[in-house]
Amino acid sequence: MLSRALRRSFILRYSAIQVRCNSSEALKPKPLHSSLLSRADLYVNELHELENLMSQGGSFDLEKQKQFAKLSTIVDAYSKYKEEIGQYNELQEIIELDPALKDEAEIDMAELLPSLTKTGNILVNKLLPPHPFADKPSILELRPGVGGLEAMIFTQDLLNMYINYANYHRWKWSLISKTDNASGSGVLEAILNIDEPGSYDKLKFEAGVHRVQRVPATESKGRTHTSTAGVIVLPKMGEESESEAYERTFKPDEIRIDVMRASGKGGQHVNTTDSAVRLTHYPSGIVISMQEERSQHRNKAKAFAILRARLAEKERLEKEEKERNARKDQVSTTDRSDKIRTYNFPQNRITDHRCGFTLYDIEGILKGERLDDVIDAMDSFDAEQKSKKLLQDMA
Amino acid sequence: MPRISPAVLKLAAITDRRLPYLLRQNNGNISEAKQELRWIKNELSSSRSINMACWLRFNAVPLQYVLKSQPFGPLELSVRPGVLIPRWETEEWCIDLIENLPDNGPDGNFKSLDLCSGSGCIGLSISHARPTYSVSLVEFSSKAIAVLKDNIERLHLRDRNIQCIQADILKNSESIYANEKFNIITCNPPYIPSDEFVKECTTSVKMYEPRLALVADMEFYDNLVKHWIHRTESFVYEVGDIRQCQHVVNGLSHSNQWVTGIKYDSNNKARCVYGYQTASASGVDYGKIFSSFSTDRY
Repeated sequence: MLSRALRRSFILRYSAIQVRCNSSEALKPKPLHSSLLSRADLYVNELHELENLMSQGGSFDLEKQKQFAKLSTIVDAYSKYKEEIGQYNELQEIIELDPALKDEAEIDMAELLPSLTKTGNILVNKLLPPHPFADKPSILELRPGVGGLEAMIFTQDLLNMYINYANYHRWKWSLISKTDNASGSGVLEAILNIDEPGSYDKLKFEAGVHRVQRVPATESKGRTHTSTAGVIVLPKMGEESESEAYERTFKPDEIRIDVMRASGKGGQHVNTTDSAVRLTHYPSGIVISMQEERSQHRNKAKAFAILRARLAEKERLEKEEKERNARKDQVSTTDRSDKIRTYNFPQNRITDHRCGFTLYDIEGILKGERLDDVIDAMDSFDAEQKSKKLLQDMA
Repeated sequence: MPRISPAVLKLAAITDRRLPYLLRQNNGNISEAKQELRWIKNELSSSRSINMACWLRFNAVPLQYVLKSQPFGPLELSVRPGVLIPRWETEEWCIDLIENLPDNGPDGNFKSLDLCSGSGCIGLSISHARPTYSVSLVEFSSKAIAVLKDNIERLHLRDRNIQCIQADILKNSESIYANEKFNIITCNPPYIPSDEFVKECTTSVKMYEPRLALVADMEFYDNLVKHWIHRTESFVYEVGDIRQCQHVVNGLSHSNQWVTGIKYDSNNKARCVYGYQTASASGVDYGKIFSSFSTDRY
């Protein structure tokens, strides 16, 4: 009874958007939770305030502009949702009260429902708290898994895929480090830096084990092999640039920096480029070796950038783990599953095991042009999961 | 020099036919040679010049001369034959020093003097990081002076407060910037004793780098104690050997005005001798500047 009373009060405030819950369950779209909608209303108010400020010619700095852009997308989605849910209510009424127009109304209803579900999802997605690193550039680490040489070749293919993907979006990228296999084909380890802010948000679902099924170039008898490669996606923290402050953010006793310990006297006696650096972070046990640059100083800076990224990601995972435990939620989610995707060459098929999305275009994926299809599918899957969780938490 | 086995040469040749040329200077280590080839490819564009570079490297020409540049901290210095190649040890202490230099000197004028500048790595790094400083550079070799001036242009430091002069500090210390006093003197003097030169230096250093910038023993440290010490409140001199540190420390031990110390590099070799006046007239906190110097023993 209490909930009904509450709902009444919401009907008063949001009469346009309230969904009647007691009619035709089969056709009923999921109504958005009232607290979500009240959150959306807060955003509407905030946007009005900003607009007022703007019309009065108040100062409008970058921060406010960002806020304004963010708010207006939310409010757009919200008003579209309101409009559609209004239509839905009208149709519902017609179906109930006017038998003459019932058939036509049902046809309209069938058209409206998918669109309504979609707008609802978009709105929820926008209302969900954003990922803490959503606006960060990203660092991708790729390593071969099981499968020997074929896995190394596949790792190279994956690396090319992400480079192509970055090129396709005209994102600036650079290879932080890459170790080729001695025989020349395949990589042992590659670290790709994508400078575009927000690329972490796009690529975060790429983390995990990618599986390939194909007849490898190394196979002489034409048998199909299954190999894997691991991808780690890290948010790139802060500015690596020229700042010398990178060391200061760590306590001296947490960090150990090793350089090439050449024998002999060093200094003016030798002029070889001994620039390799190994960085050890004791509290986390992370070790990073860097030898890409000709300058030790720059190798250090790069190693610190990677260390900071790895620590940030680790912290985030630990925090999520904690939250999950607090909820006692045993549902497997996107970020936990290990084998995330299969690339099946003989069938020209790509399947993402988390959201069950399948696409038949290996070439388009590896060129990076259709990777967005998979990423978008994953994105909406994740949003759905999260909104479910959110609603469960509220219930 | 260790013999490189034909198997390694062959393996290298399969990856890239230019790679075997680079093995000699990398002690037969393929991955290091590959790294070097990558650096060469990054800097040079035409395959002709890459081939030429590999051939020069085979003949022990330093990579820095082949590529005509060397990164030093945030700077990219131009280096040519006739000027000493900046070493990573120098880069290390120089960055440590700069990190603790005050943003502004007393009454906005911090005066720094860099002796035996060579490519200008130390002095120009200071000027780059602290635009308000007045930086004076002294270099004896005319070839090096040319490179130094080149670097000032290249790094867009023309508008900074930089003077550089060509002079022999062993002969006319007093007349160089006569009557001027400095807050800090930095110097990377030649420090390889002549008997050590043949024994300890690598072929590449012996054959291609200027002897003038390498061979000397105590001359410059004597020169410091005798002439420069009265004109500065602090100093950092790079050394090749702990003896040279002790020489300076002993030379100043009679005076209780000076705090002296030794800085070790990450390779655990004595790399710098430094000192500062306990009571500085200008009010600069030198203890703070050299705070990262004393503890750096690994």
